[in-house]
Amino acid sequence: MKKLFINENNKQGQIKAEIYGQFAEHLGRCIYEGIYVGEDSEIPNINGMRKDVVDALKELQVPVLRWPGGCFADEYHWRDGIGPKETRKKMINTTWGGKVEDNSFGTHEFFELCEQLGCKTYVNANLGSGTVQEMNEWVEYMTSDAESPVVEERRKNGRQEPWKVDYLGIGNESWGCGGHMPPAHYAGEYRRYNTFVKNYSFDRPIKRIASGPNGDDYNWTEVVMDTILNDKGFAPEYDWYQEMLQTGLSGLALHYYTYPDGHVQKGLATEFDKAGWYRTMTKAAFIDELIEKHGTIMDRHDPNKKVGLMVDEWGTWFASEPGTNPFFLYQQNTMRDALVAGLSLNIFNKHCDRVHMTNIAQMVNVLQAMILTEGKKMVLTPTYHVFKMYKNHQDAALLESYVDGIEVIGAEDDFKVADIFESASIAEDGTITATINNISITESADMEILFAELKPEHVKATILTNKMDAHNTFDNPEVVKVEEFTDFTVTDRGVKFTLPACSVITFEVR
Amino acid sequence: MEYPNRICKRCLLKEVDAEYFESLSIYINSIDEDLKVGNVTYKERLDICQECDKLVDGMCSGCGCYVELRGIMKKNKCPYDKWL
Repeated sequence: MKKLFINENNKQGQIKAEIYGQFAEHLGRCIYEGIYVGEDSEIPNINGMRKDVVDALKELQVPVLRWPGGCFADEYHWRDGIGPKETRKKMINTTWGGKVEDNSFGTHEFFELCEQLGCKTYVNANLGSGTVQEMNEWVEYMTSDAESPVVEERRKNGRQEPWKVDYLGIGNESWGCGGHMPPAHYAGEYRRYNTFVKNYSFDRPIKRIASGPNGDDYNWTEVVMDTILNDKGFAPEYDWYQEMLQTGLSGLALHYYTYPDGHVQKGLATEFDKAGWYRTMTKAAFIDELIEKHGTIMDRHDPNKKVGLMVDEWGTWFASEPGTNPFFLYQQNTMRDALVAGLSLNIFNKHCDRVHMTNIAQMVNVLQAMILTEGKKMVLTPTYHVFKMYKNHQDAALLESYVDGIEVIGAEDDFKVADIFESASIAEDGTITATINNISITESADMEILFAELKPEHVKATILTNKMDAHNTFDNPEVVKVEEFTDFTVTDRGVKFTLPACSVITFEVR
Repeated sequence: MEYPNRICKRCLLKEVDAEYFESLSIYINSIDEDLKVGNVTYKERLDICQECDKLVDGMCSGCGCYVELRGIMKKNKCPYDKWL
């Protein structure tokens, strides 16, 4: 019998809602067709946004949306995406598959989407191929209420009031597609660009996010954190100046993808064996070590943890579905993705002191998506269901928890992983949510949840379980779905149950 | 795979990228004949695709598929129901 101890008396920090954030890039069919179909589409839409997709996403309580990239961000010039649509510049998205980008989804459309979703906004600005002036004016266009030519232009384009930019990414993957910069060079560029990103409203300052490390590039974290936070140069008033203007660093972006078979020869999302399953889980669980080690470096420069580690690109990356444009990154989504999402979110929850936001890649039709679309049809993926099962964690307090009886399992010596992942939180209304994953594809697990003092009175649970490669298709969209889980016994200290193999369970206890 | 600087609306892949079409053809030829539609149906489907604005550089923007592959499979449908 495995025991999951939950100490409801020990709150360990707030799980920021942004940990459940999303990412939408101008890539493949994520924005176009997946989210935005235009006002004249035969697909039901509100101001061009597909109604079916937005309605489904609202069920997830999407807390924040990152846009427009990704690699696309450092090629994106915001002026191409404003003004009358018929006059907007048409270009070829050379980063992602040569698709024609007609810029019909631009700044105004992004904020319209966020308003429909009711989420915070995370704009990733162009440092790689843009200019300081371009970034400065985009921020002014979006957030200023002053009388200025740029603001007048926004008003002329139909938006009177400024929008709120909650987060601004200053460059993306600046070690790679964002400019191939060494860390010290990037950190210097960050400081220069950031100086000209103004807060036009001091009661809602923009939180600034620096391009962070690629996976385990710890040197990047060390150099960028040190240069941005510690190097005062010839301006000893630097800290005071930033404090006054509220322009300090809020986040460092970590990108980490799960490639079970390596970056070059990727296997298909739906075709894998037992060894492939455990390779995937082992590599996904590596995010725990990455957060620990990058976090240790960040602790030296930021002991009060003001700067969040923003995992603003993560998820599985498999081969594109056969017959689709390989640069569109369209992949199916199975129970394997569900467990990757489940264990990753549990890990993020447990590191909520340092992880302030994550953005899974990506929201629709790209990589580990919530939703797949094909013309008028839409299908919810197993990953979508996990996000829905976890939504109670948003803004709840993390509770101390651990499992006694964890086993290390796997099919290959080099790829062994814990069989159980979990996290627990308590919401303001006193509801305790525990999310538990059984990584084993063959073995169920007898388990007992034990609370410190709580005697459970009301317990309900949901489960997502199926074969390891089970997935939903447009012809059969409910193969993998959330079901009520009732096969448990409430004791005077907790709950007893059997956790099926290959499953994600959510308990809500009061 | 390199992308030309111009785009070709309503064009099949074989018209815009012969090299990539060659590799797609090898894949299509390897598919079990029982899973594929006959030549007449295949041509009818591709003719409809070539009248559609969603077809750009051989790819349907409704589903992200190269239509020469999507159209050959019996089980497939047009994402906008223009052929079944």
